[in-house]
Amino acid sequence: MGDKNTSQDILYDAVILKEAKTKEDVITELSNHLLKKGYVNKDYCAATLDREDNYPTGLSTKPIGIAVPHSNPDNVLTEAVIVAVSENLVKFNEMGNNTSLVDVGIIFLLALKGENNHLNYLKNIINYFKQSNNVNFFYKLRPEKQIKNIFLKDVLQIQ
Amino acid sequence: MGKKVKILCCCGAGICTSNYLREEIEDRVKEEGLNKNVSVNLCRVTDVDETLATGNIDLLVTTVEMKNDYPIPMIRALGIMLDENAAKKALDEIIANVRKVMEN
Repeated sequence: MGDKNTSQDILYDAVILKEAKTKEDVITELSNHLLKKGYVNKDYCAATLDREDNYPTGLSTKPIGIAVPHSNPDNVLTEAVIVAVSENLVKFNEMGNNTSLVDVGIIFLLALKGENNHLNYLKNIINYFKQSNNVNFFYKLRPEKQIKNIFLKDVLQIQ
Repeated sequence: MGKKVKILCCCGAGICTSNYLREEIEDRVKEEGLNKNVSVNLCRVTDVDETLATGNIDLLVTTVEMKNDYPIPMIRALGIMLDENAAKKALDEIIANVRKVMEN
């Protein structure tokens, strides 16, 4: 597990969202973050919003939900994974169940190219956040640097 | 030796959760000693109709809601990722379906 994730070329970043109130706010803000850094093209945001509308990615972990928005690799220039903690809980639709909503506080934007990468990240993220004490601990982490450290060390286990 | 069973996993992107399912299914199939009898393919949910039309698929496993009905058994298996009890139940059901196809 995780060997493929040690690539030096992947950007890992942590963001604290103070203003976001909707899932569109979250995805737009995180996509723009990547766009500014030159990791995705200008179509990435719309494609990911569209994907989220059709095939939602909210997961009802306890006591707060997580979401793993992603879209096809065409708009990704350089691979990146951003973890965001949103101070406002934001409603995402639940994965595989388009009618139920999840209050999400932690978001992982997966801007990846290779399908196996997707799989490894998803597995590591779900395994960690299945445990509610991990959800609680992670949601309270501050500042960004600390969020990133714990994400790499405990969630992805690559440092 | 029964016939070879073809499983199709689908999700929104055809890369993320469907891949997760494939890994879990392949692990379980190996445990059951059936890996010579089963193949698992992936596709996007938007390509399911086309894939079923061309592929002699025996069983559909999905993480997303399906809008249509299909003539083959379908298993909603999102629980495989999230919950150990649900995972066991879904994988048991998949294996039962595989054995049924092999006997026919």
